[in-house]
Amino acid sequence: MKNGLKSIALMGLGAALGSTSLMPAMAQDFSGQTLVVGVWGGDIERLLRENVIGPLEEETGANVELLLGGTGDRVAKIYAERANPTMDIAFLNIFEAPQALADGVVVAPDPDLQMYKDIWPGMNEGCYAMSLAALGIVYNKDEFESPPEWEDLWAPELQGRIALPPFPGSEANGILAIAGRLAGADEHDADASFDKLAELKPIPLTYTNLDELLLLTDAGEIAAAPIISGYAISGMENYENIGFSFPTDPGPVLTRDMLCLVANSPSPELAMLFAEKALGVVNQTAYANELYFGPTNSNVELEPAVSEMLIDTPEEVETLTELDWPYLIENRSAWTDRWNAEILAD
Amino acid sequence: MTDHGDNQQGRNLTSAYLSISGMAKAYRGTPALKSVDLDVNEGEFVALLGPSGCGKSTLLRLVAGLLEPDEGTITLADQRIGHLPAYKRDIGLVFQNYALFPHMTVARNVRFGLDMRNMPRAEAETRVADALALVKLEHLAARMPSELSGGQQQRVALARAIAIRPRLLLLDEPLSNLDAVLRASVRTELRELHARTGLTIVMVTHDQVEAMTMADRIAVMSDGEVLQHDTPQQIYEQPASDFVAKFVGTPPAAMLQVDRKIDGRFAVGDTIWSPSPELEAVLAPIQRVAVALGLRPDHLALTSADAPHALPATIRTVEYLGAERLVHVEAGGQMLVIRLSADEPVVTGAVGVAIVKSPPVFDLTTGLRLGRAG
Amino acid sequence: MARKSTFLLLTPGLFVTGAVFLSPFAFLALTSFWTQRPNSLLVDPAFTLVNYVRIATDMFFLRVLFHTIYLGVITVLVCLVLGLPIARWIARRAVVSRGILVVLIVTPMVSGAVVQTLGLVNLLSLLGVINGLLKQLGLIDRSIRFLGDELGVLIGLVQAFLPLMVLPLLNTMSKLPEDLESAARSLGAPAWRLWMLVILPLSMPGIIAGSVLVFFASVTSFVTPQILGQGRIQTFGTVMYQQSALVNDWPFASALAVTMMVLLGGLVLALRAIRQRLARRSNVAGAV
Repeated sequence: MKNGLKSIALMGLGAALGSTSLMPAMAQDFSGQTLVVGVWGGDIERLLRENVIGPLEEETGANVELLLGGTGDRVAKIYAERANPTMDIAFLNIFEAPQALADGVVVAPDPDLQMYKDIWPGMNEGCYAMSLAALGIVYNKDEFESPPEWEDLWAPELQGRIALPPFPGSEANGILAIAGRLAGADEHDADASFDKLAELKPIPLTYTNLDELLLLTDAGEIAAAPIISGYAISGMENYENIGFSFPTDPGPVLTRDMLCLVANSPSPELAMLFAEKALGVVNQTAYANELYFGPTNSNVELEPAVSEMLIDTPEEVETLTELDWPYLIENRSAWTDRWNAEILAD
Repeated sequence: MTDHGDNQQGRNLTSAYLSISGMAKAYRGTPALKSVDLDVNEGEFVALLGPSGCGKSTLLRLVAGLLEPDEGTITLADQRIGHLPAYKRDIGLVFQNYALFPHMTVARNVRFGLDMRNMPRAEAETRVADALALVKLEHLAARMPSELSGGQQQRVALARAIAIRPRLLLLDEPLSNLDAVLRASVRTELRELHARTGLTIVMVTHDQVEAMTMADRIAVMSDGEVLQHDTPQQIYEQPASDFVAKFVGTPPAAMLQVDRKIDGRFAVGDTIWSPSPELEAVLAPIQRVAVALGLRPDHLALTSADAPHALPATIRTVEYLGAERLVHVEAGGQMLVIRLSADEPVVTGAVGVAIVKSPPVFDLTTGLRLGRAG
Repeated sequence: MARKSTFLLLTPGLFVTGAVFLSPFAFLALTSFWTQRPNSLLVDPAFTLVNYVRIATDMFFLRVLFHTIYLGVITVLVCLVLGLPIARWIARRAVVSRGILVVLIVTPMVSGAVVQTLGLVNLLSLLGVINGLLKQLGLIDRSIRFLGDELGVLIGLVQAFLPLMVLPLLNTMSKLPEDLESAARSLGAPAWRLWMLVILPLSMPGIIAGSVLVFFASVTSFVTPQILGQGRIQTFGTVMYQQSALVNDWPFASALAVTMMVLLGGLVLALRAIRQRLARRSNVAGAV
């Protein structure tokens, strides 16, 4: 009821304002059109359906189709279809977005748009910044008296009990860079990074499934693992023995989910409407409260208890370790071979 | 006859060459064999004869060691073999479908058993040649089984079983896959082979003609039991039970049920009949039990309806067989068959049946023959 | 005339085959001769052999290739050792119970590799059923690692593909008359000679068909080594996945795929030659 009134009011407003840039599409009817969005399944899909897709379909009469999967699938799709795209929006990760922009498969973020301006400055690299997360440490509380620092993962008594993410990926690139810094270098020194990380061998598990990792960590089979906040923190609520640490020396590695508008997509106006809602206060607040994903929208205000568990201000972002993603991407193929040979092999 | 000697001592020179005692076997609780005793003398050719499901194949497989008995002992050449696995029994076996190894030549098939005995090659080759010569197939040694006719395959199977110089040769329905013409000649060949080799042979068959023409003795089986173990002539002339009488002979014996009225007269169905005094004596047990006469065509003659002691009957059909004719008559609701030579005239309608030879009499309840002394 | 109309009838089928199978394969093959532009995910469509040179010269990929084939061979052998007695046992059942057993064997295959593999994870993982049982019994303190090990992947591959071995074996073996075995035994063959001289030679068509199926299924499998290997066991399948979905180097991933297909294609041709020779022999030997 309330929604109905609101949309009537908005329609009136739209009519009054005519075709100003504020709400260009509000008055349009998109019945019969389909918007195709590529995104991760699970909680993210659920929140998008509740806060973005539901309202959008109601207001526009359009139909939103989700293609669920990992970013690899989406990257493959938008590159393969770049002459004739079928996907309108693709959620990518922090290092794929600038690459996609450079290759011309996504639309550059428009600094004149309100939604661009609402996002903390400097974050819309390649695409629009959707959410903030940081690579920290999930750990078994029996193994550490206080939240561990990166260096603690290299404690001799924990050897063989530190799980790692699959390479390549923001988590794996993150921990590799951290290893480099602990060795007194940084991610540009591959030898130092790999040698330091190899000290953790043998690797008991390459995790691809969050629940499995948390279960094993809770049981003490895995002592700790580098993992991105957000999912891990929301998943932790089910396990008594697990803690999450934002290390300080160096700080957690910054990662972002990016919302990309596919270049030459079939429904650009609908895509824009979707982006406005996804990046809007309602959806980002839900992301924060339910998934502990840090909002990028500067208008979001969070409960202190929630705010404490995530990255939600530019000051906090300052403390994070930012990596030279273009350099990492350049070396991705070569480093994959090194990871296979030096980290995974016994 | 059913003397299985002192089996406990293991060696007993008076016992038969092959002695089966108390053999029983059940499949999922259904008995296939119920305590069978059977003796076979050395060099004898014995046929196990019976309808399908009578247990004859089960008995053969028990002897071969392909099945484990539930109870019973088997002694072969004074040696207890019941506990031996099949491959240690030295018993040759010829299967109904020949079971030749399709991936081996005729010679390799025949040599198979010799290879299992690790016989030196030269000796084995000689034995293979001998065995193939015995079945007249020397010229086909290099062929594959699929290149042979059914009859040739059967002879290869025979040669293969004989090559190991078995202590006993078992034949499982050896003729049933052959056509009628071949069957007659193989019958003779198998007899000759038996005569030449002196092997002790046990053959399973459901065909009474095969059993009668080939075997020295026949064990007639039914329902997991041996009903009679005798020479073909004894089986034919002195059947131990109505089953044997009906199973053996072409045409088989007809059972004529005879009743005695309260007034002492004999009756066949509704027809009152006055048998000859000799026959009345044969029918004597009728005082105590219900009886039937086992009548083969050669017990009977066609006569006029009013001839003395003749059984009134009606002719139903006449079968023309060239040299003879079979006349099917009905007497008191029961069918009888009478043999007539080709030139005897056939009357039609009401006739009389004369019983010219003393027939066996059977107890209708037990099926056993009465007054076996006769 | 007849041939012409046959060809006409085949046209839709050939068209579909061409469209859905051959053309993607042709594109895959073409892509494998291209490269990824530096600092870009766009491909450079200029003919080059670099991808193949990299496969042929990088010890890592050769080792993975070797390891994949090795896993396939071991899987075939284990499936043979398990499948032969299973198939013979089933072949000797009555027709009705044979049907039930075949359904039981096929059912897990219908459920797909993911479900089966995750089931095995539940059994074999550090907190899985087997480790839990061993701990309950007081036999171990800390879990034994079955996953992320060759053994775990092997268990998964055998579990997933054993039906592919049993079914062709069963098909061949149930056509073997039982009397052949009885004949061999009566002629003096103990069990091992019976197997060596009669059962195995006559089961050759099933053995070859089953081995080919299991080998191909296991060397091309991805889900089983990926999940049960926990990222530690690398096969051609997992490396192809890594190169295409994680590294996004599609030309190189294509080259890996083409390499695998060419190797397997060569194997198919070799096996066909062997089978033709066998067929000639068994033609002479004929049906039993």
